[in-house]
Amino acid sequence: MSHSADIDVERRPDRSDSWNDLKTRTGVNGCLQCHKCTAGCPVADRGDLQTSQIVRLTQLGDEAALYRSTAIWRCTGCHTCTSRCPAGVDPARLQDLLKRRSLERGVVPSDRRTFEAQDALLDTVSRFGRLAEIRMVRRFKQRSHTLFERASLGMALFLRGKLKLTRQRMRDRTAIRNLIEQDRIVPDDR
Amino acid sequence: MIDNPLELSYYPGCAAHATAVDQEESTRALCRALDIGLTELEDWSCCGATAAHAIGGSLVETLGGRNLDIAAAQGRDLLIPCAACFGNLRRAADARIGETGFDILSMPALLARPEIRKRLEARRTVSLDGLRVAAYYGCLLVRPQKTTGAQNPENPMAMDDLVSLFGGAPVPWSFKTECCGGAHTLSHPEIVTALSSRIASMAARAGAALVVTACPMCHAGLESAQWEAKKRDRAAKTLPVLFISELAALALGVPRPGRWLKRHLIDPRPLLKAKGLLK
Repeated sequence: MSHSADIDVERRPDRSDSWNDLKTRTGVNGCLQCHKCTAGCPVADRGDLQTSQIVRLTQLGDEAALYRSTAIWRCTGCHTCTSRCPAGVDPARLQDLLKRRSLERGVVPSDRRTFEAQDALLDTVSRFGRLAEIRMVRRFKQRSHTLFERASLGMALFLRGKLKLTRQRMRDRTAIRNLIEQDRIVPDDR
Repeated sequence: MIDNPLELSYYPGCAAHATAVDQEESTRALCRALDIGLTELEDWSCCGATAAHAIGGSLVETLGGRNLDIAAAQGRDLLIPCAACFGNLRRAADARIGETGFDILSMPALLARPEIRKRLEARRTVSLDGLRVAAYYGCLLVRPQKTTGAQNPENPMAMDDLVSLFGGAPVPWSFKTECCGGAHTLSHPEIVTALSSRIASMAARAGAALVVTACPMCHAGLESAQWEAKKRDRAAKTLPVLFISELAALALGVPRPGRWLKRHLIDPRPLLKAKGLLK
């Protein structure tokens, strides 16, 4: 995925808290740069920034560098960094807030596959109120052009009754659709 | 036999009808055997999973809030067997002003309740007979601690204690709270494969013959990583992975466990038969 160098961080600034609020909410000002977060991160070797660097760049307010990074999208949400931080910083929350802010500012997600997988879930839940796995997988594969990826695993699950073609629905789907569409952000290029 | 039947609200979660159907079926069978009545939350909806907290703005709170309202109306403690749903709904509850008025329970937390533990002790009929089991907790049952209420997030023991109670031998090992990568199942399966394979191989190195978990994503990650390794190399060793509800149901001798045991990617039945735990 290519990134434009001129990310307009001022765009749609009304949709989330100010940068200072972000820093306060995630406690980044207390960071000691001990790197315990990076040391415990299961995907430390899979992104372009280390967790401790993400915290430092947040202190410095370098929004463009953060939004451009793949690392914020590689976070698995395991909360190891947050639970081990001796200074009470919450890097897991921080990375979620950064992903959200980057979308609010119209930045094309730097790890498109991860964005598309997550949006595919919101898409199916918006329709049915519950997760329809087959539909989510199909939506993701259409968007990410990976139609036959892991097809044999899907077949093995299907044969064991673990991947159903019928979908479960709940009744008050309108309520769920409204909740999701109120918060869902789709990138401009789609 | 029936001492104080316990009535709970039940949030199955979306995986209950898909990849974690074995967890769902064993949870219901286990609760029946323990005289725990489950009333499914009326018209429950998805918790939003990873997407809700990663990109969803306030979706953890709004989607969760709707389910919490339903649970409050039903007025009972709420059992959530899926670790991811458990984490999201606990977080939604934390974000509310005031108390929810009911407890949100994971399966290990339910089974650790003193009165339920007593029932397990009284009603176990099948001993695991020294079977070496790695209790694998993953992330969302234990972290973040203020959300999960886990006693020791670096070395939780709730499932280890259950294994001991059932006559098994919980192995001490270092990877019990490592991440399986489940959030990337669709987006980066190679990450799930790498992280989950390492966890399975560390469980094997610790001498375990079986892994037990309480999270549908951990379960799917550990099974699919081993299944793929086996496909590449037929001689590859595999460790069966059971949900804690399946193991507990076996220990209580519930009828026809084959219903769900046949659904695993890594078939646990040969091991269970060899140990006399399954006919």
